[in-house]
Amino acid sequence: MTGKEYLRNLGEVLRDELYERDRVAAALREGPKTIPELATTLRVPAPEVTKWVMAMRRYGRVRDLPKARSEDYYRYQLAEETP
Amino acid sequence: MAADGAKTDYDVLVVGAGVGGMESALTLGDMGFKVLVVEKEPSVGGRMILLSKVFPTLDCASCISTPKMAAVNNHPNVRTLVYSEVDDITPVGDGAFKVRLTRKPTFVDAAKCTGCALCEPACTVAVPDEFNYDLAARRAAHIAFPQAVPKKAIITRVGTSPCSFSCPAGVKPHGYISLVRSGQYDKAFRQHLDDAPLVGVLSRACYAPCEDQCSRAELEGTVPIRGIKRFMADRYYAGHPAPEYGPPTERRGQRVAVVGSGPAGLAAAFFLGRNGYDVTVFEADREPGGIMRWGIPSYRLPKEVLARDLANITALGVRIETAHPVTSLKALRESGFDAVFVAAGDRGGRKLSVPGEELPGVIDSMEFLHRVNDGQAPDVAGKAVVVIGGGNVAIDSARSALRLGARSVRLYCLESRTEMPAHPWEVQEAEDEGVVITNSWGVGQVVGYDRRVSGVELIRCTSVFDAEHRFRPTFDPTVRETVPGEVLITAIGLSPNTQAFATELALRRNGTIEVDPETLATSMAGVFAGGDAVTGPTMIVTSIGQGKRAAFHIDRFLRKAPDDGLRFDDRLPVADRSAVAARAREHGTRRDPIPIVRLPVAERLTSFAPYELAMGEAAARASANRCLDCGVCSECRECVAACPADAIDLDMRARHEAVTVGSVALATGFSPFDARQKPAFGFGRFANVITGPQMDRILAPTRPFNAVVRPSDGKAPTNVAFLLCAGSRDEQVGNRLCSRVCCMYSMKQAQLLMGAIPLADVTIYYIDIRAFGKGYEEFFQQTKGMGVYFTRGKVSRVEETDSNDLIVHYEDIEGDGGPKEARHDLVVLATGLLPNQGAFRLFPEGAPEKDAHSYVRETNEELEPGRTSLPGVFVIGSATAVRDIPDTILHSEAASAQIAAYLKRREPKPPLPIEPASIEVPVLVPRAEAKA
Repeated sequence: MTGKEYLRNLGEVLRDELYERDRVAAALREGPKTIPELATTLRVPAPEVTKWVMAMRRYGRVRDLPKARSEDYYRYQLAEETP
Repeated sequence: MAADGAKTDYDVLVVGAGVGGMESALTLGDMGFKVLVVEKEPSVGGRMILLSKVFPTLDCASCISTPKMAAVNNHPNVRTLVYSEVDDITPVGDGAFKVRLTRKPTFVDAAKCTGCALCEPACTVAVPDEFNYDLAARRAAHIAFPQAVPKKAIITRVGTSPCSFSCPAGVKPHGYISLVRSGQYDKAFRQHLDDAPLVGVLSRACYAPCEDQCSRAELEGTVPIRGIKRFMADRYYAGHPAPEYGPPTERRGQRVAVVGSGPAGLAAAFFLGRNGYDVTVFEADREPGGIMRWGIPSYRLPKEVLARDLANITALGVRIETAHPVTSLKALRESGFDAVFVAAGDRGGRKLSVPGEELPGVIDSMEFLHRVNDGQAPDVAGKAVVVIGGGNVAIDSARSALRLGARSVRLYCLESRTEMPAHPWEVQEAEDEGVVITNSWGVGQVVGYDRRVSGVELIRCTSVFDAEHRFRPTFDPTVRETVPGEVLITAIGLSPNTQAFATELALRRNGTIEVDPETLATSMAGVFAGGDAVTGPTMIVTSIGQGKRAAFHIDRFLRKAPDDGLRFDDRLPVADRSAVAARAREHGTRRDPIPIVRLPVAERLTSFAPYELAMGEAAARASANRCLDCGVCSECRECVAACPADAIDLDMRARHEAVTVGSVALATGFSPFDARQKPAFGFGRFANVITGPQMDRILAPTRPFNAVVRPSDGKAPTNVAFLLCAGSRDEQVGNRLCSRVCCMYSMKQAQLLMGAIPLADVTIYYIDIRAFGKGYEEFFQQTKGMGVYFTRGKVSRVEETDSNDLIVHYEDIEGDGGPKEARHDLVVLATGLLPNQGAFRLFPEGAPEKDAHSYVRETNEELEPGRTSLPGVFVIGSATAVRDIPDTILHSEAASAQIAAYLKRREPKPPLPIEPASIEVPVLVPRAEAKA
């Protein structure tokens, strides 16, 4: 059991996306990754990576790849970067 | 006039445009009544439009809602105001009401906005998306949701961020900080340059009043705003050795003279030049820059930084004529200038007015610093230097003397340590470098030996300011002390450089120029003035603000703009920094400031090279990420640049309206239960414990995620639990009512989930299933038939595993009995609905009565649905009791009929013929007959 007392301040986590998105993009430039893989690469908690990836996806920086039914996780890749 | 003939602007005010409010508005509008709908959100549609599907038909919620949303927005008898609030409703007699309302500023011109949403990815501020129940981020510039009606962008602003509010020059630190945070460094520089020139100077020499106001200072320490500015300015100038632009192509054809090339004059020249005016700056000295060139030592402001800043101004076509003193403003005007801005600054230091002041070795601080900056520093090497004064100029002089090799530097001032005008950190740095500061001493006389200064006789200063905080120093003449000194630098204040204009302009007693505080217009037509010549000695950034203000009003003067009261500075009120800091404290991480690196003292004193080192990219960006986005929108204006329709209007302000209405319909809906009130269930602690409304968003086509995945790690859930009655039928949270919809929406979600993830196991933990409506029981059976597990048991708590799975502890009621536990990878709390208390606050002169559960009470819900205790005020849908969608529609129709009847009764009747002799005894007649 985690014995967790709380999740980190939501506003802070969401703000961090604007700060961390270049690191996320750099990790995805190496190839498509699942969120747990990204979390391991970036050494940050997966719930926070989820928030960042979903925001990056919403605003066109990241897109998801199709997932086979037997797979648990979607993989995400960098959308075409605008200059 | 309204359709009922009464003298009101509208027949009905409908408060709230959820499904009930919309239905009622459309029905009444169809009947011919004139309806005003006021919705606080930026779109109509309420909560229904956020649902995935509706039970029991599993019809698409959007498909049902959007036609109604479009209809209410376009109905000829319905005026819909979104993003608006009813302030209050007061009866005005004859059954009518006066309604005051506020149309909140969206900062987007709805007539121009095409809903393209290009502002969203450009925005640099992320906040929780309330329309996705905080599951995801949205931007400050956003469209509420994809099906929003009207589909128009809005920008969330809760005031001006304190840093931006405090800048006298109107620089928006929050804006460029947000750009640095997201790695857009050149844009950050350009945004600053748009607000104020001299970016490099400010990055080195500004006293940064913004940092004093930073909300982060209430936590671990201020965001190092000036340090971040230094990073972006240095980086930009390294990449752009010359300006990116030239003079504006559109010329005004009018000429403006600027007297003085200090910060005020240069700022005015910059903004006027950018506006297409032909600007000439006249500078008496042989190099431009005023105090920035001659008054600030190079260790604080390297001259090449000033030179690069100047290039940004001259690139606009601004001419700077040096060694060109102006002695007559009248003559200047007559030489062909359409307007003049006087920014002559200070002419030098004030005198001590004590015996011995004329001795060789006594030097005014401004002259001293001028010579230092001119490469002709007085010879103080090996000498004992005494500095008199407690301001920043005194500190600069003392620190410069140390760098020139003085044997010792002692600084004496009238003020106590806490009263010193110099900034505390500068005082500390001076002491670190070896300046000995002694407080509370005035000068009695300058002592000479061999016709040179040899020391100073000091007198104890007992107080500096009087009770009104005016400068009125008092001394104890019995306490005197003489200190040795071979050089005496006096820095006790500066005099305005206005003597040349004494016969042309109205001056104040202290020699500063008298101006209109708003326009900075002087007593001479066409002549404006600002900077130290008006304010007295002040900060560079304040003088830049003066120049900017002057440019604004000179432009208006030259364009002969009407006197419409337009003001230069119309910022939104400052955001509440304490509230911001309090929000940040809620489970925020500690983020200590990254200190700015300074050279060791011994190294500093060897030259006038800058001693403060620039932040690196990583430190600057991490520092920028400490920003708390106090005002939400950062005013970076990236949305302005991105908008193809030129629809962004950050100057938009709230508008207030007052209307009269014949009746009021309260369709204020419900409040969702806050699942944090059930801490045992782990909402807010465990990422994979979500609420029913959140699950609906995940299942909706416009979901916040790419698919049905769990929030902790994006995994497609395979074993999902629904916990019914989370916060309803629960005395512990003070809500003993059944929420009526949770059973059904959980079954709906379970079915949709199995459709999305066919292999998923879904368990519903319930006390009893309440499937009471038409088709509900069949829906229940259908859900069971699909393989959803129904476990009758009361859940006591939820725990989280290391893999973010969840252990549900429950008491098994139907099976073997006793406490049990089950593992799931996602838990959905079927949170209930609570009464919305907002409606009651709308009636300052007496609100409608509440029922026992704090809903708006219907006086006779069986026979007269929707009627409240206030005649003319009606209630619709879940504002009066928890209702599902079909019941809400039904109730709103019933209430609409009541409203229509009420309005018809209000119609003026032709006066009855009066025959006094026949009316002696009152006669009771049936109500229907009396109406006829």
